[in-house]
This record gives sequence, C-alpha cells and structure tokens, in this order.
Amino acid sequence: MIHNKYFKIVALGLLLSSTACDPLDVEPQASLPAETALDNRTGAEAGLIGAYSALQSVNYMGLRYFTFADLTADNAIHSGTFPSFAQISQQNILPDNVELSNMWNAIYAGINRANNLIANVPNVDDPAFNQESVLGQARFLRAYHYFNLINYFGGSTTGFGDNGLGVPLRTEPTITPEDANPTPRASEAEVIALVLEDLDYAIANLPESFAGAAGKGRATQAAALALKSRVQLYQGNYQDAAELAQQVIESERFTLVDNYQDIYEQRNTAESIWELQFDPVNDNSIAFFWLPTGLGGRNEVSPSPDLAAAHEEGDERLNTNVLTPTYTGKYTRISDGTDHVMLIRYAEVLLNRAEALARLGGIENLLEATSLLNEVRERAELAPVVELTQEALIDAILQERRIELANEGHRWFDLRRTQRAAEELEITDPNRLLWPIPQREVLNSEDLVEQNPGY
Amino acid sequence: MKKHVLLSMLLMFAIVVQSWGQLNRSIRGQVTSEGGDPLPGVSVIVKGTTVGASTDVEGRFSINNIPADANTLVFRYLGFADQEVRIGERNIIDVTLTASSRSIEEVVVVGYGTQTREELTGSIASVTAEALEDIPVVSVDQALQGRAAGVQVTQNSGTPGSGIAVRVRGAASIGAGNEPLYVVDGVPINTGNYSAIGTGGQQTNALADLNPNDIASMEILKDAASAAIYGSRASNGVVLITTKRGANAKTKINFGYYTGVQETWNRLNTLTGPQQVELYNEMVFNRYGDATGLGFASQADLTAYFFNGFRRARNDAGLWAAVDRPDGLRAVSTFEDPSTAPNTDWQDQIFRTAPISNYDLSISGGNERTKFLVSGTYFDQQGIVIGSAFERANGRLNLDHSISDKIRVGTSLGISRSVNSRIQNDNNINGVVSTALLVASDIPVYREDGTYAKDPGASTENPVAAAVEPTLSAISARVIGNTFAEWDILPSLRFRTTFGIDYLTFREEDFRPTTTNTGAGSNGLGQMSYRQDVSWLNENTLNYNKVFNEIHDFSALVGISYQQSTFNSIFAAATGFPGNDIQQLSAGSIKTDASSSESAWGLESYFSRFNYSLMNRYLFSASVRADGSSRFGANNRYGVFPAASVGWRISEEAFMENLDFLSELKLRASYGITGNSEIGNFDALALVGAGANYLQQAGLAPTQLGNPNLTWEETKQTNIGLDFGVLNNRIVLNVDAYLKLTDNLLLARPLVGSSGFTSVQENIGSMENKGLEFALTSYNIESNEPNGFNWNTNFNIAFNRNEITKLYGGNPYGVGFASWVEEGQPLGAFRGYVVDGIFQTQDEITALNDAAAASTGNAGAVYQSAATSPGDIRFRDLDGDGRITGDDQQIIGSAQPRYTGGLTNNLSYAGFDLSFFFQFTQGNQIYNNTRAFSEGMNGVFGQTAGVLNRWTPENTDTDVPRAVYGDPNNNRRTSDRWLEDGSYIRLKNIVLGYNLPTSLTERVHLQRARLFVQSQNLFTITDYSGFDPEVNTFSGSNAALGTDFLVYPQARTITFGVNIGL
Repeated sequence: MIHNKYFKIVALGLLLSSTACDPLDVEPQASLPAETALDNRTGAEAGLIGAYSALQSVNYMGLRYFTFADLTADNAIHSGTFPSFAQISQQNILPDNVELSNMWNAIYAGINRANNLIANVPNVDDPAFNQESVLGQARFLRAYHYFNLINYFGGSTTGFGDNGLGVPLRTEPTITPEDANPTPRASEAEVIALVLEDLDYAIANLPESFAGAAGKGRATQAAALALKSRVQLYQGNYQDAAELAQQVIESERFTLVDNYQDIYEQRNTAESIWELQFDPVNDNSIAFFWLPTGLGGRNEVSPSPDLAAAHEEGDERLNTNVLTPTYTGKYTRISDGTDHVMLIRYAEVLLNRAEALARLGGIENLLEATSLLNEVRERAELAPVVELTQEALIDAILQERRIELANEGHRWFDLRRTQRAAEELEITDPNRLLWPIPQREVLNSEDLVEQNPGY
Repeated sequence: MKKHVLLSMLLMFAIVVQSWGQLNRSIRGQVTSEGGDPLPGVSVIVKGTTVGASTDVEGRFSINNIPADANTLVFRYLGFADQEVRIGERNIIDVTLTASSRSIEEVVVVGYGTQTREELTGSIASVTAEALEDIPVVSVDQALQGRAAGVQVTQNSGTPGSGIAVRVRGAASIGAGNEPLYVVDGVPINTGNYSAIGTGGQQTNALADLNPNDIASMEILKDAASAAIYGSRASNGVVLITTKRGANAKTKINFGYYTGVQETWNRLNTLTGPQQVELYNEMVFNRYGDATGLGFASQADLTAYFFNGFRRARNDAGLWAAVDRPDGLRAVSTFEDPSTAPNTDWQDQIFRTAPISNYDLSISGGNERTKFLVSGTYFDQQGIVIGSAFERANGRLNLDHSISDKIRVGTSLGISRSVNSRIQNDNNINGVVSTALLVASDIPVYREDGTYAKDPGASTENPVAAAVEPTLSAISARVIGNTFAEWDILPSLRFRTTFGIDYLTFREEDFRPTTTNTGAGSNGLGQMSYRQDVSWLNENTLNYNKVFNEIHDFSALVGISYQQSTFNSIFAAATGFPGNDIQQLSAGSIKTDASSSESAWGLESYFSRFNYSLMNRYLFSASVRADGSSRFGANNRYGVFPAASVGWRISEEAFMENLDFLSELKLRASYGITGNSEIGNFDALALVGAGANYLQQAGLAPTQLGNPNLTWEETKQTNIGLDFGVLNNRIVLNVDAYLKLTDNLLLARPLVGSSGFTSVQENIGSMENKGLEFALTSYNIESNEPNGFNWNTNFNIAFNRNEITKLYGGNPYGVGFASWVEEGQPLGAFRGYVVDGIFQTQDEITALNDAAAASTGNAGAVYQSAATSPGDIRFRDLDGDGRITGDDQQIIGSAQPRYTGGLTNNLSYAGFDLSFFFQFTQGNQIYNNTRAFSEGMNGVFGQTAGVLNRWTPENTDTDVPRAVYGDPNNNRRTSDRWLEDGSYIRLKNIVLGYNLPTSLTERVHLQRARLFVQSQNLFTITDYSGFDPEVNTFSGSNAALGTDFLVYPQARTITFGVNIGL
C-alpha cells in the first residue's frame, strides 16, 4: 500500500506546518502598546526621559531652534547649501519652508509627551514614585515648549505681551486619531497664562537640584524661576522678571565661571542652570552644521562678520564667539557630537534682572542694573560701564546680551521684544517679524489654524 | 520544444472526444514530430465540430463517426504549430507537426498552474528566456523593460544593483507598495531595499539576487482575473518567475560567457575654471556692488572672502583684504585674473570605461524518472563611476523525480551571494556624481601636498575622495527554494504540497576614513549593519481535471497557504579609529550606536479556482482567495478577493470556418478584486516606542497612533481583451482595455502637527488607472530551410491614464522636490511657480512693488522680494493678489508618460542572428533639480554651460537670469524653469550573433557554438538636457517620480560573448 505510506507522510507534514506556527500570531518586539506603556512607575519615569529627549531633536534644541534665532538675526550667516536656511537667514521665509513644519512638529511632539505624562502621572500609585517632581518637570517642559512656540510664531509686530497671536493650545494627550483633530490658535495671552501656571506649579514642586553629574540636564526650581523671569521679561512684566531673577541670584547656587570658554569646554559648570545634555550615543550634529569643512563640518552656518565686529576691543569672548577662519568656539565636538546646549545659564539671569531693573528705572534700580551688567562685563575682561542714562544703559545691556549669549538662541527674540528687529536687520515688512505658521498646519486644519498676517 | 516538463502535466487532460453527430466514416493515422518521434496526446478534431480524438503513446489516433460533410482535420499540440489537413478521400492520415514558438500556442504559467494561451481569459504577458539571453542586465526586473505592454519599467539610475521601478498598468497606490508581487517557482519573495545606510538616493534592490540566466519565463499577471488568486498582494500585478528545469533528454552542457565595456553616453557641459571664477566675481558684484562700500580693498578681495571660507584681515590702509589660505586654493590672485584659475574636469575624474563580464555554466538532462538542472553563474560589473561595482555568484539545482507513476517530488533551489560596492550619491554633499557636478572646476583634484583639495567655500566632498576613500559594501547572501510533492490520487485529482523558503541576509560595512569630510571630524567613522529576512511558505493544493461528455472541460483548484516572514536587524557604529587601516568597529574608541530590531508579518490564505471550457469555444473561469494578514487591524483582518472571466473563441465557431485567413479570434472579459497590503507590519497598532533616551537613561515616547480599522487597499479591475490571429497565427494582435479603480488607499493621513503626531495610517484615498494595451507579434518572413531567412517583430505600446480621485479631505501635499499629490492629478504631478520672463528695468519692479503695497495696504509689501533687480526672474502672480506667495504655484507638469512601449526585431539567416530592441516613453516630464543647482548661480557650486547665456545689461535677450550671490530673488525656486520633456526612444539592446555551422562544431565535438556582440543603450533620442531621461533620484518612491538630482547615469555597454553547447 504505497499510497497509504505517502499519504501518511504528506498528512504528517501538513499537520506539522499548520500547527507549529500560526502565521498571524505576530507582535511588535520593539514597541509597547500605547494603552499601558506609561501607567506605571517605570513607564512614567521612562516617559519623563522621553519628554526631555524631545528637546534633543535636530529640529528643536538639538540644533535648529537656537541656531535659527541667531541666523535670522545678525549673529550668524548662512554659509551652506540648504535653501531653507537661506530663507531664514534672509528673513524671507515662505510658509512652505520645511524648517517651519519640522520645528513646529518637533515642539508639539514634546508637548504631547508632556501631556501624556501630566495625564498619567496622577494615576501612578507607587510609594517609590515622586509624583510632584515628575509632574513638575513635565509641566516645566510644557511651559518651555509653548513659550518657544510663541517666540517664533506668536506675539505681534510690536513684540510680546501686546495682545498678540498665540498658537493652538493643547493640554490633553493625543491618544486616538480623533484626539488629533485640529485646534484653532489661542491668543498669546491664553498661551502665556498656561506657561505661567505651569511654571508656578514647577517652582512650587521641583527640587532644588538633582543628584549626579548630569543633574544640570533636568529642570530644577531655579530653572523654572529663571525661565519665568525670561517669560516675564519678554512680556514686559519687568517687576516680576526682576524679582524672579533675584530669587535665582539669592539661591546662591550659581556663579559666573572665570573663563567664558570653560562654559562650553567643561560643560555643566557652576554657571549652568539648565543644560541640554548629549553623549556619544545620544549625540547631536550641532558642530557638524557649525564647523567649516576643514574641521569636518558642513559649514551650513557660521558666526557673522557682524558679530565679530560687534565685540568691543579686548572682549575675551571674541575668542569663543568667532574663531578664525570664522567659526564658533561654542560647538566644536564634531567627533562625538557631545556639545551641550546652554538652555538657561546664570549670565542670562543677571542680564534679565539688569534689564528689568533698568527698564523699571529709578536711581537705585539703575545702579544695581549697572553693577549686574558689570559683573558680566568683568568676566569678559571689559572695563565696567559707569553712570549711563537709562536709555544708554538698556542699550548697553542689550549689546551685552548679544555678545554674551551669542549663538545660543536669544538674539532674534531679544530684537523682537525690544522692537529693534526692523531697524537692526533692515526688515521693511513688519509682518516678517512673526514667522509664518507652517503651511502644512494651515492646510491640514482646513484653515482652522489661521496664517499670520502677510503670508 | 520548450516547457515539455510543464506540458507533460497537461497531456493527461488532453481531450478525448467522441462523436456525437451522425455516424459515418472513420479515419486513423499517426502524428510524429519532425525528428520522427511519435507525439502522444495530440488533439485531432474534425474542423467545425466537436468530433475528434487524441493520440496514444505511439502517436496513433482513430476517429470514428466522422460526419459526412467533414472535409478538414485540425491537429493541435502544445508547443507545435496547429496543422489543418484536408481529408479528401483518405482514410489514413499521417501528419508531421512542426515545433512552434508562436506566442498563441505557448503554455503560460498562471497562478498555481499552467494554461495554454488559447485557453486564457485573463491578461497575461510573457517574457521568455530568449529575451533575456546575451543581455547584460543585473536584475530580472530590468529585463522586463519594454517587453510587455502595460509593464512600465524605469531604471532610476545607472547605479549597479540599484532599485528599479516596475509599474504594471500604472501605479495603484500612494502610501503602500507599487511594485508587483514576485513569485519565484511558487515562492512569493521579499523584494525592495534592505540597506540600513543611506547614500543620498539610490536604494539597493533585493531582486538583484536572482540570476537572469536561470529564468525560463516570466509571466506578468496584469488583470484581476489572473492575479486575484494572489489576493491581498495582487493589486500591483504579479510577476511569476519560472526557472529552467531538466528534461527527459541527453545531458546538455551549456557554457556562456560575455565580456565588455561600459561608459557614459552623455556628459554635462560644465564651466571651465576661469569661467567659473568670472561668474563668482559677477555674482558678488551684483549682490554687494562696489567692494569699497563694504570696506574691502578690492573687488577681488571681496569675492575671495566669500569663496575662500571668509578669511580676511585689515591691510595697512585699514581696509579688508582677503587672506589666502595656506593650501593656496582660491587665492585672491585668481579673482584678480580669472584666467589663472585651475581647470578641473571633474566628470573626467570620476567616470571611467568599466568592464563587465558574465560566466554561466549549466548542465541539464535526465531520464523518464529523474530530471535535473545544475547551473552556476558569476557576474562581475565595475560601475562607470569609480568606486562602484557589483558582483554576484549564483548556483541552482532543480530536480524532478517520479517515485511512481502517481507520485512525484522535486525541488527548485537557488543560492546567491552578491557584493555591491556602493558609493554615496544623488542628494548628498558626499556623493560622487553629486560633487563632480557641485564642486566647481576651479578647484584642483589635489592640493600641492598631495592631499585632496576641498572646496573652501562649501562643505562638499572632493569627488575623487568621495569615490575612492570610503568603503561601503553591501553583501547579500540568499537562498530561495521550493520543494514539492505531488500525488495523483485519481487520474483526474492531484494533490500537491510545497514548502518554500526565502532566506535573505544583508550585511553592510561602511567606513569613512579621516581623509573624508564625514570621517575627518570623528577620526574615522564606521557603521555595520546586518539584516536578515526569513520567509517560509507552505502551500497545499488539490487539482481536479476532467472532461465530461467530451465537450465539457472542467478543472478546479482548492488550496491553503501559510506564509510568515521575520525580519531581524542589528546596527552598530563607532568613531575614533586608530588610523584608517583597521576598519572593524572593535577598533573604534567611541561606540556611537548599537541597536537591534525585529519585525514580522504573516499571511494565512484559502483559495480556489474553477475553469470550464465548453467545446474549447466558450471559456469560463472564476477564482477566489481569502487572505488573513497580521498587518491589518483587529477589525479587518480577513479579506476576500474574487474574480471571474469569460472568453469566446469566435474563430472556433462553425460560421467562421470559411474565413481561412483568420486563425484566432477571441474575445475576453474579466472582472475581479485584488488587494495591496504593502505597508508597515504594525501600522494598525497604537505604539509607544523605546529609544527616546536622555541622560543615558532609557526613555519612552508615543510613536504611532493606532487604527484598528486599518485594512488593505482594494482594486476593482475590469478588463476586456481581443486576441486576433491571422495566417495561421503568423500575425497576432492582442488588445486589452482596462479600468482599475483602487479604493481604501492606505495613506498616512496628515494630522495637524499640534497633535504631537504628523500622520496616522488610514484607508482614505482612491485612485484610477485606465488604459489600452496593444501587443503585436508578426512572423514577417518564415523560411522552411534550416538556415533560411527568418524575421519576426514584436511591438507593444500601452497608454495608461492615472488619476488620484480622492485624498483625505481633498488636501493636496508635496513630496520630493516638486512632486505634488492632488485630487484630479496623476501621481507624479509637478507643482511650482511659473516663470513670467525676466525683469529688464527697475521701473517694472517698482511698478509691481507699488501695486503690491497698494493692494495689501502695507507700504513695505513687495511683489517678489525687496532685493529684486533687473535680470531677476519675474514669477507669475497666479492668484492676482499683487504679490508672489506660496499660493502662486500650480501644476506645471507630470512624470506620467502618455505612452510607453517597445519594438523588437529578430532576424536570422545562414547562422547569423540579429535582434534589436527599441524602448520608448513619450509625454512625461522631468523635474531637473540638478539644474536648480548647476544653473542656480547663487553660491559656490560648479555651474554648467547654460549660465554663459545669463542676463547682463549687455545680454538682455535671454531666459537665464542674472548671477547674484545668495539669489535673494530666489530665481532658483521650484518652477517650470527646471521642468523638461522626458520623452525618449532608445536602442536598448542590439545583439548580433553567429551560430557556427554544425559541420564545424561537430569537428570539435560541440553541439552548438555561437558568438555574439551586443550593445545596450547604443543610442538615445531625447530632448532632455540631463545625463539620462530614464531617471529618478527618489528610488523607491511612489509619488516623487521623474526627478533628476545628481543621479548616477546609465551606461552604454558593448559586450562580446560566446555560447557553447556540449
């Protein structure tokens, strides 16, 4: 019965193949189901790390956000090939410029990560879990993201705090496709209100410091105070800005380091309040974009000749800000991509308070402002300024701010908020002071998200 | 005589027809082949009736009951020409049939079986081994080009072993795959790009693992009736690849060899070094005017400053003077006297005349019980760009063995290893062709100290360094095999089970030494990737064939199929190497990456097909497949894909009997539903992913929104066809008209970015393809003499109209550089600004700016840019708002051709054979982004000769704008300025061969010896200004089509070869 024999073999083969494997039984090995990923301690803690990690995007604080603030102003020039950078450098940004949507999306991805945490953390019931700290950090990050959005896309042609335009305000996580439906823009005031509310929570709940070498990489109470001081300075609430800066100063946790270059060379110095950390595995391409080809970079952006010229004679910082031939000494770790980004440092806090006091006026305020300014100048080995008029003092502080914080992502915002952009950068069309909302956002919201005027 | 193995399966179904009319006379006889061998199973039919018989093992037949009015017998046998014999008064008729290669008598491989072409009711194109012979193609998809109507093959570049786009009856998808399903000897294989290392454009092609020499035939299942048996993977058509097998014959040994050279057939005309430097001077002057105004000592100093890396110092007069670089590149003196500038022809530096060769040995044969084929091939190609190469070794063993009359087993096993030496290319400042065009000719190849000279004003790599210095090799090792067992349970019922695998490994080694820009900063950069994709397949079918009452020919098939494919990857990278000699990652002091991943998909399928033929005249077929796919959402896991078709062989009708010249007239119609499941394996799930790390701690972040309703794309295709053969099928015309409606397009629905996500996968769009296909085969001249003159012609032409009929919310979006996806437009449409001439005077500009200020109420508003000057391009204000904004863009063209096709002529006489094959594409456009750089005149990049006609106050009658540093008017924006006609016709192949006379070959104990000379791309007729009109930098893209950007061009190849049969 030869047939029977073969039939048995075939039948056996069939049985094996159909029972050994269910071909449809396939599950992802590199991801977790979204429903349960963040609702426990390890998940929420990893989610917080993920929320910080959003800052590292090359479209955000990993390069573009802070670089563009100097590129579109006068501290950096476009020396590379990307047409999208060229538009930014020339303040002639078309709404379809891919940098806009990339940055916008990266920031909102960060907001969604923070919102996920903010929604999940209250449900994590674990004695080993520090709810307040995690929630404080998440809300700090959310505040930072929204503030950053306003700085490019919101406000008004007269700066900030002047009945300006806001951005879509989302405070709940996006879980389902329906949650992702478009939201119209809120007003600048509404967005800033959330920023301040989040920061107040952060100030009340964040620890003074975090342990470990990379403690500067997390948001502390001082970071929240300093950030709020910056927000209020931009908003023109000088009393608040001055007081918040004072709280940081009075904490006595920070000092200016002696050597300006050390901030970038040593990293996580005594001057650092909040510093975006990178390591060889989790690296960035900042130096690659900033360095000339001879040093292995792609020379996409360089410090401007204008920036070099703006340094006073003998300013130590020139040796960091503009090296020969024309590159920055702030972002140089091209081999392993571990340059840190100075998100908030003490010199800024000093200048925040100096400027806020100078603007408040009054002899005492002006004197203290002068002395704060001179503290920063002294480190740069510049002679102190004396007995300036209020107007001249504000000019001097802004000039100091330009040099001190050069190519760290402040210049465009400082020019905008002080209504100096049009004059300093020769911008004839005031509408250019707000960047266009990414065309993609306008289109995909079916115009629910309104474009900024003039685009 | 080909395909006898396959035919043998069909013989048992040969029609045994008895009389059903009036009893009358009887006729008997014997049918033999030209060699005198008896032919069993030949169908012998009294013309115009169903009366007939089939021959027995000795080729004998006997027909009784022949109607009185019968006067002709028709002899039919697969692989042989039909023969009609007048009966006259004879009672014994012996017939000799001649073998035929005419397409209509061919056996065609269909899904899970074979059919003769005359039985077909669907639309299937066949490409036979002859079309592949002697032609130096790397991959089998390349060989399909121009050979089959409605199969559009685009070789995106000349990069050896790179991706090729194949579209069967247009593109049916935007977000899922558009490539057909490839099935090799029954195993649906993994295809596409397995590279983990980006090179800037061209991808790798897993189909390059297959050996074109192994292929007996390729069938392209085009309509739903033929493809629906492959269910959820059939929407883009199915390519069935059948490899050669042994035959019951004396052992044959075939050896083939060819070798030859490849070279560019076209170069771009670039500026000389001095012309380039003159341009730099003009650009800077036009932007900044007089140098002294900027505090510079001279115009040359100012230009030098901009192009030597911004080096300057105050001179004694307190003015800025450019500082020469230590390496002397772009010295100030060259800007003072441009004629002293170096002049490098970068294309000469990177292009070469490159060798290509192929060795192929196959041994086949067998006896009644066992048949075998063993083959080995080695293919070795150097690229026409230095640093690029592709080599591949293949082995094959195909076995068939009959255990008994009823039980057979067999295997098809192909193994391969290929080494692809890749280079960076296309959209990449480290690419070889890219930098050869982007680095200006005033830069020498080497500095005086012998190191590579690098453009001091840009970050582009030195082209020679880009080609020679990095190591980037991709090594693919692969086994594709299928083992089968068949059991004839009953004479009419066959069980078949198969077990197949596709085991692919893909390893990449990448090292950038310190001599390269990318390796310089990090003391060497090394990356290693290992990927493995293992697919297994088990299929079990039952096949039933029976003829009832002589005229009712039934066949039925049921089957089950399981397939699962598991993908694994490992990637690691390191920097900080001790020199450039040790390139393994162990030497790198900083490990910058280490990761692994796994993914998988599975498919569980049930299928069935039913064929019914009535009197060989009325043909009916229906099939259905139910697929369960792991890729789809829980709510939509299973799908059913039915199809049905009918055919009417009008020529078999009695009333057509008198139309003697008409040998075939068949009307076909089919309708069916197929699917497309080529999306990510887990696109339906809401996921939180790992890897969002910070502070050297592990982070999690949401990565994907879920969609439990996600399901396959669905294509409903209607096909109507006509097969028309005259003069005993010397001329055969196939016409097909089709309408393909695709719904449920799997698209990433764009989300507002404020959601934290940019898209979610949904079934949203619709697309339509409709078209006409014509395929003409003509045996123009046929000789009866062995060495007489023969000439046949194949011509095919296809017209496809593609239209996107629905997108999410109707929202259009851009992809690539200028490609645009919009409802009502074809996939591959281009969108951009429209050039409206060149501003000749400042007055024109001022008038427009004033109007813009007036219409917007904003005094600062300008028409285009505040920096617009005479010589700049004026773009058209399409929306009439007085300003040029993003809204002033429109559809400016399309990459979809109006028609494509091919023309092949085969001639033979006295041992010589000549075959030439033209391939053409008409009516498509190319977005030439290369020119946006090489004629952009905005910065440091090398320019092509077109800019010599640039606008100057003296040269105003031109369409090339002025040269101005930084291009503040954005003259080089995406516009119709860069759009060109991409039509072409090219002599894709020409082969001239000579078969040595038998008298000569026998003397050296050879069966056959043939010498040939071949050329590929011998000439191309086109108006396109780039390297090659057959181009796409977005290799593997569905929607970004027809875009040229610094693409590795195709080669012209000339080879000489020999085929020897022992």
